[in-house]
Amino acid sequence: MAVKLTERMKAWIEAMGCHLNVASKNGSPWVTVAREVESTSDDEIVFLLSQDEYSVIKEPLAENPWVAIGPSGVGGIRACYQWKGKGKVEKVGDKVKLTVKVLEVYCTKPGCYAGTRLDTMDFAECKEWEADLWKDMPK
Amino acid sequence: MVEFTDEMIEGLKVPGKGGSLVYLATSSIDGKPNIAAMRYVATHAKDKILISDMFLLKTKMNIKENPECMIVICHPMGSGRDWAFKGKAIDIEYGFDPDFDWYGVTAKEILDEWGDWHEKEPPDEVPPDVVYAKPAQRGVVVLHVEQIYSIEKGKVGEKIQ
Repeated sequence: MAVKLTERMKAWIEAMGCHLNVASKNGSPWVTVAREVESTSDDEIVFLLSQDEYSVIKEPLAENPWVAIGPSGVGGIRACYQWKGKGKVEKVGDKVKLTVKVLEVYCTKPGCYAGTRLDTMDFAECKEWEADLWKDMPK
Repeated sequence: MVEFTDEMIEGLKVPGKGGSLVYLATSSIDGKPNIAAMRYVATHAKDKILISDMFLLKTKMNIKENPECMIVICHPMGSGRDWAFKGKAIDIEYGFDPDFDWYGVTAKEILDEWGDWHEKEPPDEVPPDVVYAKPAQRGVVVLHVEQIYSIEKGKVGEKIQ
């Protein structure tokens, strides 16, 4: 089933930036902060990383494309989502563009919904479920 | 050997006591990463970070097969708490032998103090549309920190300790 991010998800990603967790092939995690989001589409998130932001994930990402993504700042409280996908990088000027094709979407709200796969729901059903829980958008 | 600063000890408390929301980052043994925000956080001794095992799923499975973990400040950002802590974690569940030792701390001392975290530090500051309906703690994750690096803008990845 194709992944589709909701408008609320896109808004929180773009407003807050994200924490990215990547891992070496043998499972050593490395986290960086991606403060600049170039764009979001239905199934892709594009980050523009500074050299220092990229330095932490450069080696593990070269051997393992998986990226786990959580919204930064107050998004960590308000936007209870985790996105997982595979990333590829390209150099753009003095920055590094990281394009993540999103393959999985999870709810991280504490309680009975924690860990629920959202991308396996019908998209209309997912939006309805989300709207029942939250209507706020980031300021 | 890592030793937390006073600022770190203050920052690694529940948000309602002036602390921080943190991300707990784990990975399966074959490299599939996971990242989840955690409200219940505290320090123990000078090099351990504690997280409540409440509603942990992938995180719990990952820790059981691979102890390599990170805890990173999520909120507030840019407040001087620009830290990422890396080390090895275990989930000390209620059934553990009280004498079980994890890098110098026992299951008994952790569970006696932090085994009913909801009661000890209730989530009063958590918005009603985010907070859980009922607590369901099953243990305490203990991260033995081995290195600390910065996530400060312009200095990400610089070693702090």
